[in-house]
Amino acid sequence: MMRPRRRHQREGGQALVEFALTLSVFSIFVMLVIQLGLLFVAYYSETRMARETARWLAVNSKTTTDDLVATHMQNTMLPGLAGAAPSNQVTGTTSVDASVDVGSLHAQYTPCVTNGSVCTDSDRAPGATLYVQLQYNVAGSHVLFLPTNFRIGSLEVNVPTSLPAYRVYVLVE
Amino acid sequence: MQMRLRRLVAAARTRESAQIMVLFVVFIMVLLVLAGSAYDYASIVVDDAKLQNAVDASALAGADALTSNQTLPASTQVALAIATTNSYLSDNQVTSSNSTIAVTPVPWVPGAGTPTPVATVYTGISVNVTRNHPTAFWPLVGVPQVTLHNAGAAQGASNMMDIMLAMDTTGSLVLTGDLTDTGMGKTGTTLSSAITNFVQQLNPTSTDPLGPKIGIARYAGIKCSWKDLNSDGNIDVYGDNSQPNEYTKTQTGTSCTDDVTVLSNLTQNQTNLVNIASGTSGSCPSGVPTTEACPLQHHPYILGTEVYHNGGSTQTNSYFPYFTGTKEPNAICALMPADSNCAEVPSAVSTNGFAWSTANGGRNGSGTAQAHRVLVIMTDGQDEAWPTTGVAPNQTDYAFPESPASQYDSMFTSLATNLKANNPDGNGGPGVEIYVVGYFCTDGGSYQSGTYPPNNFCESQIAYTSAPRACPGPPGASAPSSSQLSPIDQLLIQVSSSSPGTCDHYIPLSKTESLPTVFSQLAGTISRGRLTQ
Repeated sequence: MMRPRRRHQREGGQALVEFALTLSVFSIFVMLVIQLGLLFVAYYSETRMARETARWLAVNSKTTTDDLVATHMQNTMLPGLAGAAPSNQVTGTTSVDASVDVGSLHAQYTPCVTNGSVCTDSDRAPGATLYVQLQYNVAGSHVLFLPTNFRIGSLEVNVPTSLPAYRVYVLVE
Repeated sequence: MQMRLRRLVAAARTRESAQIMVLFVVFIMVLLVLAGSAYDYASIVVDDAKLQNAVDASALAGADALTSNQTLPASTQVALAIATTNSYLSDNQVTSSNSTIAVTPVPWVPGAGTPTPVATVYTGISVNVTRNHPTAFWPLVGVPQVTLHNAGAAQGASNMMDIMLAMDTTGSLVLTGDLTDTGMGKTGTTLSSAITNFVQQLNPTSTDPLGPKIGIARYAGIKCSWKDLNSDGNIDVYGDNSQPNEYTKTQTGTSCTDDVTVLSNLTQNQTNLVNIASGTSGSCPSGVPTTEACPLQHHPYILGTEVYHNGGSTQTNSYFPYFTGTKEPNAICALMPADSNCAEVPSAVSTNGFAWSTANGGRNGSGTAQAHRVLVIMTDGQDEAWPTTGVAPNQTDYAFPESPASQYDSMFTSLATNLKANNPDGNGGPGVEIYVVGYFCTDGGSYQSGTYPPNNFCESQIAYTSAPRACPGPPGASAPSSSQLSPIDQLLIQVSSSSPGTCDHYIPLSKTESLPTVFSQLAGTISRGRLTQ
């Protein structure tokens, strides 16, 4: 009479399965940590660029046209941020603030409103307050390497790809 | 029963199912703690950066408000400055509801030799902000929040400044398209725009009696008589050095006269200053020569018909000499004509006297009522006579009627030393801080030591380097070695108020760059408040 084998005592390959399960979860976790780190570097650079651009604009408020602001940002991109030629430029008026995209960085700032080569907007006059606001979109840049869209059945989750906007106000000198 | 219990315990010791689960949970917890720590640390760093931005912006604004309201009573002045500081903190999301804020006015501490003011004078603002940053994961290890402490202090702008501009208006600037000359039909607005930018950046206004005052002077070379060697009624000039001296001071009993004009004394009339630089003759302030200003322009010096001898060939023109060369000492003689090095200034300049005197608009009260005196010299060349400009630095230009060019250089440094020293005009008062802007051509692509081709005026070695240059350099940085500086660079550094071993008051640039932009930046450098902490 044959005795049935006790299946629950078989342990061959168990470690491999467990390792595979653990490794996948662990890998996702590590990638999430790296992703988070990159996002923080980008956001830190965004805040620093906002401050540096605002300070530069405050010092050169009279002669810095909206075009020059865009070029300045393109030339002073900080680590973690991808630059490119300025695009989607909106030249400011007395009622509309200037804005421009420099790569994935969207900038909005107190406009110049030129008269010849001199800025005449009252917010660019010495003693006024100007602002620079930056917002970085990580989608499509090297900062973001994990998917931002998840779908399980009918349930769909989209992770926002724009870092929080940061605005800094400074005195025009 | 006891046996059965022992068997169960033994079995439990050998069973390994769910072991990996336990390990996994332990690892995940460790990783979660690490990731949480990283998140919290990064968010603290970002929040700290934002807070420092807010503190710096508010300190600068507060210090500016402090010095902009110096005419008000001290208590009102301080209250306004603190209100401005808090306003900027609020704009940048730092309020008393989320932070502990301390704003303190910083009193002015007079330097050695400067009288202590009777009442305390505040010129700076100190800001200290403490904010609790809540943590997301660190509460698990007993750290629910982290205290951020950010501090900043700013020194207010030195608004009470009396600034004279001495602008080189020699022919080379006409020839490079930077200066207007109506006789030659050339229009050049570079110098005009530079002055306009400078004035607008400093924004002088009579409503701010403690704000900056600005004056404008121009200079070139010397206006002399010339020899008529063959007595044919024409002027003879030799380009081949066959005659030792073509200019003359004594032949007809006349002396050379320095080609200098004071276009405006120190004033806060911004409109007049801008009109002198860039306006039309119709808008020129009363008494200002429209042949030299409105807009700023080259004024030719015409003696008559000249015969130019060069070897066997001769050439005749009827507008000689037109240009007057470059005499760099004139940059200072226009403003300090009583100095013994200035024997040939025109009588109008001589009568005008020391540019920073009270009679000329200077502010020379006691203590803090004494304005800070500044001179900005702009030049594009070196000491040379016209038309024989082909002489190397520190060698004798045979055309000079008086001292060789090398003595002009030493006169220039002597004048600068006298102007920078205390009591420069013999009536007390501090010395003058001198900035020098060297605006040089950079033809040929590289500096050629000891030779002049392709252009006699491309004499600055450092102007050939790329911006940002070693001069003026970052604060405290050493000047380049002498091998990297041509004679004109070394001369202009010596003339400027650069700290020993540095060139922090010498701003060289190439004519391919924007002089107006440099003047805007220089205005900011001279006037701006700065962070001190």
